[in-house]
Amino acid sequence: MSQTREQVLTEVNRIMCGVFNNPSIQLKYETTAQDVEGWDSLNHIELVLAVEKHFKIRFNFAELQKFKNIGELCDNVAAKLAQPAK
Amino acid sequence: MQFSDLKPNLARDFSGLPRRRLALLGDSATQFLAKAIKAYGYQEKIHFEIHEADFDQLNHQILDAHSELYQAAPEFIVLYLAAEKLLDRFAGTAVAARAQFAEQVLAEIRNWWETIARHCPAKVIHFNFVEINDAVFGHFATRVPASFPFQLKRLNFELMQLAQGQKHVFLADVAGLAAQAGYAVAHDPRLYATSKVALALDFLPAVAKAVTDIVQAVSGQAKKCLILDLDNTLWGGVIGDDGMENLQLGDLGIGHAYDHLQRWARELQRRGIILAVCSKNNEDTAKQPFREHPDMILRLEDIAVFVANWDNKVDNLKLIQSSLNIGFDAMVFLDDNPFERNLVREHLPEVTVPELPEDPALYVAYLAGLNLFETASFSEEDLQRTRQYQAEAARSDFQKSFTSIDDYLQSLDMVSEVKPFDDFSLPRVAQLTQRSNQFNLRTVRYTVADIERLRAAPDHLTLSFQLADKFGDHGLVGLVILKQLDATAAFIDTWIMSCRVLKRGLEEFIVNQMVRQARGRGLTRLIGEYLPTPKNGMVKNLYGDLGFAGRDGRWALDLEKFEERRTFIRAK
Repeated sequence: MSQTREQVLTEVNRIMCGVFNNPSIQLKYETTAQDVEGWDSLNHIELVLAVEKHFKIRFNFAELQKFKNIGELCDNVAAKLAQPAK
Repeated sequence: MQFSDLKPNLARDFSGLPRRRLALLGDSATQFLAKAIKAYGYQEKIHFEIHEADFDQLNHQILDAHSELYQAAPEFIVLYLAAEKLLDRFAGTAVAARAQFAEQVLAEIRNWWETIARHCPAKVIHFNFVEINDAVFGHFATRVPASFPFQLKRLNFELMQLAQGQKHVFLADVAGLAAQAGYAVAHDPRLYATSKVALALDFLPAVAKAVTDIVQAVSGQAKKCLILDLDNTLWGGVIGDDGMENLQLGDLGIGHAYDHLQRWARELQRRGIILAVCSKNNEDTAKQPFREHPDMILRLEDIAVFVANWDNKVDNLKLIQSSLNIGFDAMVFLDDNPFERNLVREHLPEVTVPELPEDPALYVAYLAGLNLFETASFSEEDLQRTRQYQAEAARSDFQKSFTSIDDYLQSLDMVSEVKPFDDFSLPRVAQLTQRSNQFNLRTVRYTVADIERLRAAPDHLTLSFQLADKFGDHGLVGLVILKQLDATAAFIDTWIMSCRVLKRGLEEFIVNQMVRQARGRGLTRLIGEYLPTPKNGMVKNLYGDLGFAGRDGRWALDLEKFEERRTFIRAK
């Protein structure tokens, strides 16, 4: 099901609060790992896997590592959701 | 269960939960595993304090007696070697040496286990290897000793053999869990490639459960009794309405689903789990299939306590509990009826009540997945248990024919064999220290390895008590460990009795024997201590009742003044 970038951001924000166990995280498209306390490589991978599971999509290995900010992650998710189901 | 279901537990309040110190050593990244164990522990009411070593530090941490590992004084050390990492190592092994690959790895593991035992008293929980196939030889690998799958399966088999001689080691069958879940669930190649995390997140709850199950079994929390409803649980149909001939068993209807459950229950019984029946039925009607139905797998002699009446099941479970003298938390209750299940859950929250699936064909698969009957030991005694409980029932009928308890005890012809712990009694002794909760003065848990050490220590004196009477042999039902403090006094480090033999005068017999042994060493005082737990209230005044002087849990017996207590038990 297709979703807008804004809808994806809201969902990602919610997932991140759960993964980081911090309900007060406020994500923007420009947010990077430097901006959020505790965003280390392990939390990153947990976040990305949780996003995958939530949206029922799959990132490849290269994508897993490369998102430079939240906006890019949301764009990638939105693009995957827009593709017809295989 | 998924990792994300467990994770919120990490933020909960662990205060007040009993603590267990656990160290986690792996050759891959174990942070997620540590979180899963901690979070799973919360749901089982354990506060795991986890010491995590830096990744891939096994040699250093284990071999150096001063490492952080030993400084953390863990009670349990979890060792996890990733099969994926093993494959790398295999690839780096000269082709000519590959047929001996398993030996090489085993030698290393053996050295770790033995070194740990030398440096600390911790138990080791060692994961066996997830069985991956590198698809280099295909299925033909099973015929090529120098292939990876061949060496890997051999390793897993040899680990079991090796663990036979290492009583502080408990293997967690992670290979079995991965086979059940599927490798695609157990391992995420992307997670391994990015973060060297070899166990996928949603596989971790199963692994955390394995660790927790083992820790609980070693700590004495084991299920001892399976209580079975009859109609539509043990057979299809309602005997009171349908009649015995129409019960679904064997080839009739979906009878094979019930056969499967009965066969499983019988295997548990043979392993030492006590079976009881709790059914709303007339007793004669309920017993008829056990006596007469050709397709019944369970027979009356397999059932230690049979309760069939029209009272409510909560009262009947209480009856079963008191006649077996075990805790409610050692009982598992199976019933197809959600109403009965909820009633029991509400009134007896300590009893484990599995939420049986509606389809009886799924009963056993579901129950097996819960791993309810984890154990930390297995001895000959376990095989005798049902007979012992049945003999107990015969005794209690016999007792009704006597008016005085002394006449009754006298007529039982009780004989006790008293010996220091020996090779045969070791497993049973360790098991009693791990499982006994009620008649247990200090509740110190020992493994077989601990007991071996104590037995060899010159300042310790060990006694095991076996009891037999005209109805049968109870087996080893009492044990005492005395620690000599100085030239005049010994401390009763451990005094445990099986609840099967209460009110027989065995307490008096044991104290007489302790005094004899202590006098034989020229001692003049025995010191006893009572450490209260939620379950051992029954022995709170034991020392006082036996003539010890003292209070506040510390007691002393003056051996110069002690007079032998009256008992109807003869020493063999």
